[in-house]
Amino acid sequence: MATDPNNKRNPNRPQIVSWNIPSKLEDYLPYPHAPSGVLIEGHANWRLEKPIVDCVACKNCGTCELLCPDAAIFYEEVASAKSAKSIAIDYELCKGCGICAFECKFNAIKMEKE
Amino acid sequence: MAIQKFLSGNEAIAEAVKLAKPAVIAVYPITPQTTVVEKLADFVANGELKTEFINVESEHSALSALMGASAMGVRTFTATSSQGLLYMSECLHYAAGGRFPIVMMNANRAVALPWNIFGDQRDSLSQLESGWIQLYAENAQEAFDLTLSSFAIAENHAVALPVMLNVDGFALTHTYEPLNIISQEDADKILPPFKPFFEMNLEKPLSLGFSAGPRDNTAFKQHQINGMKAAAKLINEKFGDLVDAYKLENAKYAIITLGSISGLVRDVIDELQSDGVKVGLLRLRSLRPFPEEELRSALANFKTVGVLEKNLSVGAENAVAKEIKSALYGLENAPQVLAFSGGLGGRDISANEIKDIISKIIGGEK
Repeated sequence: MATDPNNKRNPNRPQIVSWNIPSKLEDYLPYPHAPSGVLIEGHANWRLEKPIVDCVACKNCGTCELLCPDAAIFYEEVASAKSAKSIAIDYELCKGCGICAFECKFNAIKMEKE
Repeated sequence: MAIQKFLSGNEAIAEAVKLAKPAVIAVYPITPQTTVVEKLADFVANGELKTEFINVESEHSALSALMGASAMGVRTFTATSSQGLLYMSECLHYAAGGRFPIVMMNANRAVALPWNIFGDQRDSLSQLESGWIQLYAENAQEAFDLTLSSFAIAENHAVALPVMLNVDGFALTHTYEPLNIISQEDADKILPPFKPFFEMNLEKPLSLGFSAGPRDNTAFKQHQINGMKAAAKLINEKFGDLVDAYKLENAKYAIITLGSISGLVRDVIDELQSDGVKVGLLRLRSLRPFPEEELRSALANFKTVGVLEKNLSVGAENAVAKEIKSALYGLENAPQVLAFSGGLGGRDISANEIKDIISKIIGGEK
């Protein structure tokens, strides 16, 4: 497994790794456990709708980060403001379930058709 | 150097576990396994065994806790019986598929309903397809020896599969025998320190138990099959064969057993052979791996074999008999296979009943 050279992801997020499908048994791991922090494939193509964050309405309460079943929501440093952090969505992990939009107390997340 | 002790089967297993020094024991008590747990707890309390002893809230949790402990690279042990084994059923498949070399003692006991705490083999035989190695002991000494062997088999990297060591409830677990208990030094020779099959630690975190879809799932199962084949080779080479033949040399008929009933069958065979009856015993020590080749070569020229199991397949031929028949299929003049259920819910099997079974096998011929 090697990290994909075309991968322009946030370095603090799980990295997409390229994986050649084994052609023979010996090339498979003999156990179903792999190094953590890597993604063999993203889940972007599972989605029918994607969550969009309204950064003005968002109060940074963290409810969506806590409740996201796929750990796709995280805090990202804001480049323009020192030590400030805002909610961000990792669209490779997000499956579009909409729990974040449903749970948000401030209607700061809207689901948009892909 | 071995020392002699007068112990029950359960105490013998606890003694062997003490010699194996597992780092984590997670266990939930259930009749007739309870005294294993009590004895191990005593060892921990008086300082004879240094281990993380987890009093879990269920058997499902016991095995789950051990999978986590095993992943972190330590030797693990649990024990259960009957309803407890069935409550673990989901985790049994998990542990085998995850290649966790856990050792578990199972006190063979009937399953409900009707409620019954006595010995038969319906619990473990209903879990044959869980991917575990399944061994069956005949007496407390073999249970002691096989406990240490089980760790060595499970932890061998060519095998890397969990082992279920089955002992008949009460007939073995609660019956006292004089036993040879080997020294720690000798035990350490049989069982080297634990070497993990895969490594996980805080520096090298793993995503444990990933999913493998339709394209890749079969490959992981093939690896498990290879592990089972390696176990068969290892047991035959180092741990006393998958089958145990008794007075089969001049026999035309055989009775096939597993577990403690084999002792009484031996006595009956001694008596009948001295009267000229050509019947011998084949005892199965292992059901997974299944001794197919051994059965084919041992029983090739037999006329009829009878399989006596403390088991019942409702609506079909009994599980072990069916597998024996399958193993013998295609042999030229393959022996006829007859299935016998006995000992259900702890019902005693008498010497006379064994004689009846043998006379049915022979079909009146002497």
